[in-house]
Amino acid sequence: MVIVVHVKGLNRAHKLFAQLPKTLNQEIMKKSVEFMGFVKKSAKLRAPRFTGYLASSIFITKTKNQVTLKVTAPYAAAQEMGAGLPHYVSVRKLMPWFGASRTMGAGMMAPGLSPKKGMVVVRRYKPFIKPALEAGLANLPNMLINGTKKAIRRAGG
Amino acid sequence: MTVSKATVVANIYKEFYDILVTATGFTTIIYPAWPEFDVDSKSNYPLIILGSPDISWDEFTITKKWVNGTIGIDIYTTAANTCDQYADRTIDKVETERDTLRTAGLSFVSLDSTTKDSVDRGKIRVHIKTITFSFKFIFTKTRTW
Repeated sequence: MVIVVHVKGLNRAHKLFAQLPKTLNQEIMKKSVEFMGFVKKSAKLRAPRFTGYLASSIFITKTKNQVTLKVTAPYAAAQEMGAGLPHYVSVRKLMPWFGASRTMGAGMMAPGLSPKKGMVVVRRYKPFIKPALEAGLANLPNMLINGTKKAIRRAGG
Repeated sequence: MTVSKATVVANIYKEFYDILVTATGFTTIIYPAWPEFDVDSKSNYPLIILGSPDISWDEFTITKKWVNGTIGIDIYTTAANTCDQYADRTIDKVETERDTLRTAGLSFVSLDSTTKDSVDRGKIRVHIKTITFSFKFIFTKTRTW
């Protein structure tokens, strides 16, 4: 007696397993870019505005397997993480960022600190990257699930 | 207008723009990028930013390639329910105009994902909804053999 076993769909399963790593990598990368794009937009809206330079210095860069969010404004780290208690900073030090034609006056004082000629008040820090990241993280699981489903479909699953 | 290999990005943008600008209430509020003027008061909203398409290539046949692309539409409003209404209008408009997009050469136009965010900007709260559509386009590739 001979029993013959036919396994159907093995070719398709083989194709799926062969293609899946590549399609998964591509889809996860797309979703990573989408996620970082979301964080970038959210951070740009949250960034405190005076000249708009801080918001305009937020951008993302992509390499083969990595997406990085960068903020190139020199004072971005202080704005995000703080620079101590509200204090005075000489206008001369900040001039390269504000532009030589700008004048600083009473409008630059924070409550509790009186205006001083030639000085700007550096206020309490206001994080903008971390809140944007937290807002984005809530969407990340769904993005990754959708990306995985697409990858499986593309691989022939 | 038809999308061609030499004008993929520009014409896909134009196709989506031409469709969205005809939706109710969208005529004067669609921009290609964040507007130059200050948007710190309620009267500046709603705003719709139609982003540039992102594309990549895949092999289709020996002589043709797929362009797989996505295009993002950001809706900024000062009320959450208004944000949802504009999102509904956007999605409905693109869905009903799929035939127009097919005639232009774009196939498999589908809603890829939506995301929601809200940010306090000065004295106003801005609600943001991002809608991403995916599409495909086939072109004949340059022979190198």
